[in-house]
Amino acid sequence: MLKTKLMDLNINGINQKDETYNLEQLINVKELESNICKTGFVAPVLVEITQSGFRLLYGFARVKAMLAIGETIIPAIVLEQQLSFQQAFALALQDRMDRGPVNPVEVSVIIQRLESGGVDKNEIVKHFLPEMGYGRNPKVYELHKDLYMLEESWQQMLIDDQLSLDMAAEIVSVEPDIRNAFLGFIKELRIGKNRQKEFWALVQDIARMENVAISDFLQEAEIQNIVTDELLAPAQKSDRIKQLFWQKRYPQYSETESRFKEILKTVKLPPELLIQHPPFFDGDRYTILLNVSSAEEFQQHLERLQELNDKDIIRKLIELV
Amino acid sequence: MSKYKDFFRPERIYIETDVKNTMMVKRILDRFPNADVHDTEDANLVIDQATEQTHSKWQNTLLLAKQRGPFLRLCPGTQKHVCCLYYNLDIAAGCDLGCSYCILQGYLNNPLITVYANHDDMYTELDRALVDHPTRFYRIGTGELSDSLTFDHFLGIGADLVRYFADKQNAIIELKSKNVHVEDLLTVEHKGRTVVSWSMNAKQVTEHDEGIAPSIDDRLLAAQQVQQAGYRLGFHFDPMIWFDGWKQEYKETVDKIFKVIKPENIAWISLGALRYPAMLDDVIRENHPNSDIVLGELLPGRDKKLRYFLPQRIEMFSHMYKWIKSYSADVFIYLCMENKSVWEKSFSWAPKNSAHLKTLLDQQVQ
Repeated sequence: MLKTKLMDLNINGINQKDETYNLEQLINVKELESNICKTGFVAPVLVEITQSGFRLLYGFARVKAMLAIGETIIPAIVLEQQLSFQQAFALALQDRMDRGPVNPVEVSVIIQRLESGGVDKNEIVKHFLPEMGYGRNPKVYELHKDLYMLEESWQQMLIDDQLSLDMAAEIVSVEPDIRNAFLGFIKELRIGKNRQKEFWALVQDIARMENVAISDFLQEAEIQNIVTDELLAPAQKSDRIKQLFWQKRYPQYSETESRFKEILKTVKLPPELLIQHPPFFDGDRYTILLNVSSAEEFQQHLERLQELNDKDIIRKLIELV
Repeated sequence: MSKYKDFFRPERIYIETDVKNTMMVKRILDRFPNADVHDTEDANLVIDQATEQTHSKWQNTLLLAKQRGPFLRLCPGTQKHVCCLYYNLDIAAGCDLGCSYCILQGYLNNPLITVYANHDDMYTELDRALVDHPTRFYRIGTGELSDSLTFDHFLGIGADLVRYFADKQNAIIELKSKNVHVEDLLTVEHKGRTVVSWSMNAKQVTEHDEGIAPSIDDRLLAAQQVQQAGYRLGFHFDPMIWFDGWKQEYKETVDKIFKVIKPENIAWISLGALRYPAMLDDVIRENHPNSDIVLGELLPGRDKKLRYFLPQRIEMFSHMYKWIKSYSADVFIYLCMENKSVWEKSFSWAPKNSAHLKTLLDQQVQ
């Protein structure tokens, strides 16, 4: 049981610059101000006594809100015993968890604060990740640890679940100008998480193959012409960009795929008759799918297929590779 | 060649209790009297530690362990492809060369070099296999989980195996390497039951993607010595890498081989294009960030491995076939992990199936 006492503290006596335990950056202070005005101040802040005054353990947002309202006195629970950094941090974390689950950016901030306080990776994984609702998994630590360094707009995409954790963890390690160029690009295209990841892999490879910076590559006219085309819907833009990227990343395959489509275009097959090439043309066996609802329709398809053979279409397809 | 002689010098040696009194352990400890030697009850404890901790801490560490599984295994090959039905003899795991494309990066997640030292068990197992199946011909190699010769400057296993196989009627051993530690082999009586093979590549690939492996010229110097000692030779262009200028550079390597090696001394030449499981892609990118091999037109194949786009593979194989055959119509060339259609398009012929390919390869050395 902690030894504490409840006091009304002068806010000026609290060292507000000391953010050692501040896990509340994402709380909306304006909303809190409004709540306090409506219902009054109901939850005291927690402080410990230091040589330079009181240090906040939790209640950072409440202090800011009270100051904004013009209050100078705040109800506080004052610790009457000395706690270790880890004990004090556990209290701050418990207060944060009482308000609901932490988002990935908060996890990152918590890890960063713990490491600043001298807590090592093993301790974080063993003791603090479970406190945040995660398993004792080092991968969770690795994925989150640097996210606090992301720009606010990236962080917001992550919090809003518009960006995958894997992607965020990967992109945090690249140069900010590259990161921001790619962010602008995917925001413009409004693409989902899987495609973001696919495009990121393609963009990195193509930039290496063409020996250009990623940020310059994304500004190239053929890309920008698609991105800024007002006549295209976001899904169309995304598909065209994908096609363009594949042409650059896999030129021979894309060329063969185009020839395959061109050959089929010349014969105008009905939708009920489908010719498929082997996946990625890795093989020489083509698949023909027939969709029939009557013997007559079946006969028509057979005649159509015979016609394809007579016109040398089958041979042309087989000889593509 | 002398600059490569002592590539790998273990600073720390862990010895599993079960193999402490073996000849192999004695041989290695005599060779490295100043190494920091530790005993361990269970090799897995050392492997676990090395897996969890920073790789650099465990570099230059040798683990002498007991092979608890079989030494001899049929090469798993690849489904849906023509395979040569080769046997692997797992005497070591790990390699010091550091090739960017090395498949071991995906299998072994620690930097230890493990040598299985219970050779009495290995010979017992080999005896049993060869005696129990006298009509079966075994082509056996030690280059699957390691390089056959890269540690031979202190292991001397190569010469041991040459001696063992010298009087075997239904087996040959293939020592497959990128290294040049052949001195011990030169004076051993082999009776034609050993093929010494080198993994070959284009100069650019050797320089950029084969870590500290000796150059093509040095490999060929070693091959010449082995040729003079009367051994049959093998060459493996695997993995072939597609890059600007590949034709010229691969042809140069072929030319170099036939400048110094007599075609009649070549047991076989194999060709294989770069391929790897998709999960290895990230590993290669992380371990070898400057390697361009991942930028090839690698697409999922029928076996789900990433492989070059089929026409590229066929182009590489058909050119190599033509260049090699221009030196000798009799040299046997085969493809590793490709289907019959690729054989036909590349070589204008194909073995009927894996058993047929095995027979053809066996005939080269029987």
